[in-house]
Amino acid sequence: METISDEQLAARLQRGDRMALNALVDRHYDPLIGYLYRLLGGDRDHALDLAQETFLRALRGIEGYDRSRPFKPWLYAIATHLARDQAARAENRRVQAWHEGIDPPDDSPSQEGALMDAESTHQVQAALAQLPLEQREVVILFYYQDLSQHQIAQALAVPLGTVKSRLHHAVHRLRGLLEIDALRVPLEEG
Amino acid sequence: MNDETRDPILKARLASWQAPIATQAQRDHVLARLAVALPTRQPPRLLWAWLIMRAQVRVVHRLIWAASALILGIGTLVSAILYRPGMEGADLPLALVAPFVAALGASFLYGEDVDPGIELQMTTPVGPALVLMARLALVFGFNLALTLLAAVPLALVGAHGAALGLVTAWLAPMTCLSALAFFGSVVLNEAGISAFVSSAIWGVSVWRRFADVGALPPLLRVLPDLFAVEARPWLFAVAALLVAITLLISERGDTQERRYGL
Repeated sequence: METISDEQLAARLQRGDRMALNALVDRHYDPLIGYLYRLLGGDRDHALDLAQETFLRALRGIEGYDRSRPFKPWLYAIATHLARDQAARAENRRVQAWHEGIDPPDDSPSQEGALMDAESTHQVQAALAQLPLEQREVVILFYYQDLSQHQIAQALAVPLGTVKSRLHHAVHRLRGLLEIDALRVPLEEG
Repeated sequence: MNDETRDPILKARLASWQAPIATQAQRDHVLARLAVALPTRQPPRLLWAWLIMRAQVRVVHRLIWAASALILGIGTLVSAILYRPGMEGADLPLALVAPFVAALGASFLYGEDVDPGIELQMTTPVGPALVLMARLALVFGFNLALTLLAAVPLALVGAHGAALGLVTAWLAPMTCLSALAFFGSVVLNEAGISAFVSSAIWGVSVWRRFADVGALPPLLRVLPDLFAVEARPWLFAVAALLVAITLLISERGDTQERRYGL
């Protein structure tokens, strides 16, 4: 059976079709939570809140959605803006706490502790947290959300070359942080 | 795509960090919230306009329809009885009554005790300006149709010329007075005052037409002659301006907030 595309569902949503809304939520709600969860360094509650807010904003702006453009980058663009705002607020709180002489809560996993941890999950979380936000966005959209580099460029409203450059630098850094090259050499030698 | 980004080891390592998924309850909660913000499905424009008009027929007070029909009926009857050959259309009682009736109707489109359907109206996805416009169009259209209809029996009793003159004589003042009454009821928020002011203006105009202008008090002498042919374009222009201002004010919503303490 032929699957209805996201863009067709979005067009139905523009006409107020509730079934289209259910289908889009069904397809994209969990992946959005995953994107925001990883982007925010593993903050589940904020990821759930922002995923809901992303859909609300998408719904409010659905009239302005251009059906000739892919839906997924459009939706992730909204989520990315929300996540950036959230990250900026968190950074402000951190700076304010520093000025007031309060130890801010450390919501990013400790690199040292995580790398020493046997669990690969923590290593990955810590490694991603080390990346600048714009590189983290590209990595998560590319590796976890299965967006093409072209779609990432649309979602982040940056040129394709910028996406490639950010991905290149991010991958290079991640390989170092996750000691993949060190891992590969003994394997290749063996 | 370069080989570096295709690195299967990097992909596998990244995939080890699993993200949470929403529970069914969380999903239902989100869907319920989103359903409220769902765009409203609008019918085709013509059907939409018809539905708004039909909804407003029930809101406009029955007395407005009945009183308009009764007064215009009596006006037509009296005009037919009093008509004498050579009489001008503007001198017929119907020409004097029609603008008054239309202004009264427009005064009571909006006001403290004339809007029983406000709760219903506030839950519909239609702006207050559109609602008021629909009501004005209904009442004005009703009076216009009745008065045009009244010209038929007048033509039958031999007042062909007078019937035509009647239509041209009352249309401009009727439009302007209706717009003024409509403006007054929305801005002053008082249907009674609005009806009084517009009736008074019309009363003075009628008095001025039949009385000696020199005998009028000085203040009333400076008022424009609403029956004058050259005044007609101005009367239509003023009416359009008044309706536009009224709709702008009503769209701001503060008149409703003031009325209903929202």
